Amino acid sequence: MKFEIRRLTTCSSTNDVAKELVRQGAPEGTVVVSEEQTAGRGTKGRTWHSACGKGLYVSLVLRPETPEITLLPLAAGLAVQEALEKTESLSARLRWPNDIVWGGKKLGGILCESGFLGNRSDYVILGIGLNVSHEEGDFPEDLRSIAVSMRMAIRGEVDVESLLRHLLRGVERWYEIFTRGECGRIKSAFERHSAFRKGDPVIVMTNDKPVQGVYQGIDISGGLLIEDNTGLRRFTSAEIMNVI
Amino acid sequence: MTSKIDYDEINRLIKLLEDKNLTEFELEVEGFKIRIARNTRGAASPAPQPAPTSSNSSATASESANPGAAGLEAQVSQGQLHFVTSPMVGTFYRTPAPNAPPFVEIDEPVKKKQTLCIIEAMKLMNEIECDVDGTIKEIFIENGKPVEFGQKLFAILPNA
Repeated sequence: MKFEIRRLTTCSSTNDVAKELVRQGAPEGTVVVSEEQTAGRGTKGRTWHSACGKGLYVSLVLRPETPEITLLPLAAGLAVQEALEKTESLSARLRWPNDIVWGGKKLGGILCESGFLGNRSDYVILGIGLNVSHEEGDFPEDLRSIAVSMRMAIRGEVDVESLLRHLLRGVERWYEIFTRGECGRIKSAFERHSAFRKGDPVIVMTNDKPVQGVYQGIDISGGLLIEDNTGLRRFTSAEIMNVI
Repeated sequence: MTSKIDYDEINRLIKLLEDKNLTEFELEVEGFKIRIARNTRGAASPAPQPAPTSSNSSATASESANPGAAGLEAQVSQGQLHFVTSPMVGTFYRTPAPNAPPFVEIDEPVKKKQTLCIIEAMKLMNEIECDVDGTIKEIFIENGKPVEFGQKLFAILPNA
């Protein structure tokens, strides 16, 4: 994949900039990197704390031919995990479907957005936010008990350029695996790096109500498998809250 | 759709529904599930769906946000309507954010590439864009409800 990187000092959100570029016809491999996001977004309208110069805020444009793209957020998580390992030997874990965690705290997150024209996939934007050089005091007070940065994890400086390089290589590698249709490989790698082990008791928040059950991994489309007293259930829209 | 039930079979089920004056019929056969419902004011509206694998993404999803859906299809011939269907299993959102206004409303004109809704799956937010110019005639799913692959989301009357 040929990457074309656009570097910004500040922007509202790298996903928003990438979406605008998509509207202008940006090709696959377009990358937006910003030192700061003034309106960084998480899922469901949540904000993403994006302190200036402290994080890596990056969005990549993909143009997959298949409409079956639900494994892409998980593949992106694997690319991030791999980049952290290669850059700073940091063994982060993946919390289904889109969180990067270290020591039980949130190190980063993935916000994927896509566009379909009717049933045809038009584009996918992989938005990745990583806490890189924050000290604990750099996080807002309400995040300090649940957030961590790479610097805090490795107790040292992080080579951000090397991190970006490894991240783009990781995305390229896992995207190739995805386009070859090797879904089983993505599933098993995700389970290997998951923050949860099969058999862990968990609580899952769905749109309706919390569900208490046992983590049983993911299926071939990336859906979360939870076993409760009604049997094995599959979730596509949920959050794993905690181990009971 | 599996080989268990074909198009002719579905037509026979619709006819059975009309002959027996039933309003709803559901059949599940070896991994395939179909629910056919009709409004007494209008024509039958088949809604074939793949069998769900869990209750979270189950076919208990409300098929129509508006009870007059079948009536609409009686007013406008089926052939005239363009249906936008879900490209994946997920959750249907009519708004870009929890407190924001809906992307589109019934009887509103829409343009090609205009966003109609978001389907969320694995925290992947999929904006479903309109693929024709026309007018929204029906919205089949309620905000925040699960949708199945291939389930009807919108009926659009294309511009002449």
